[in-house]
Amino acid sequence: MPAFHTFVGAHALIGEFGAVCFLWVLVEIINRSEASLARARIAAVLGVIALFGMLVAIENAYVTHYGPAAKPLILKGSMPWAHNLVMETKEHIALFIPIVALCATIALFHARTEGTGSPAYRYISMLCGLVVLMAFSMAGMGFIISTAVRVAVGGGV
Amino acid sequence: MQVSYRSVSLAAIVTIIVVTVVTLVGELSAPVMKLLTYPTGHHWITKNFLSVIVFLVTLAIASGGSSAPEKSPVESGATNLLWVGATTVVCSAVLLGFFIIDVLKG
Repeated sequence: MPAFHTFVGAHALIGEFGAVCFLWVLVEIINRSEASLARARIAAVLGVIALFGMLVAIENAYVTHYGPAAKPLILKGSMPWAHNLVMETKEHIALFIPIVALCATIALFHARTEGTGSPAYRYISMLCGLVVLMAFSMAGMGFIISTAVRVAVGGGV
Repeated sequence: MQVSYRSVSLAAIVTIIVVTVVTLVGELSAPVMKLLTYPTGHHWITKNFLSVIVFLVTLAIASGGSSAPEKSPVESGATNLLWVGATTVVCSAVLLGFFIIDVLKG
């Protein structure tokens, strides 16, 4: 299997792991206790590392394979909007995800001195929910882009 | 350095706005896009580094002052986290809208 496909797989896998970590954080905050908030902080750190890792995993493949090989195929195919709209939007909104996740994680650590009743958890859980929604929407957009390549290749691929 | 809800929210908001503005200006101006491509070989990778640098620098600057004891969510600045969410949604919508218009214009 070419390295490009491995990197795309790693990118998707690591990104979804990050999304699941923040879903875990969200659940722990909703049912919060001292013990669950300690688990939430661990999950948030893992999630932030994964969400930054998601971008690092795809950087080289995006530049060396997507741009020269996949993008021209998509633009010549029947779904050029998959690059012009979906990929362009995806690649930039993806930059927001680790930043929002990092913000939520720092806030989560900051809130630990305030006890389980801190109103800050309401806002932190909102950011966690946003991270989950955005990360899973990236997977949906990735499906559209890979579909555009298969459609462009044709032959029932 | 005292990290607070206010400083971390400000860092995230500034970063998201900077990435959005730089993206829009880069799409509309070829020289700016060339400038973004120059440091790393690809504009998207430059924006990756830019987002991390802007976040850390803004956080360091915003966390520089002393903070008062925190009591209510309003006093503690926890409500600023709400603005991080709002900024993210609005900037995502702006980027989506920009690229929709770009596709429709052909």
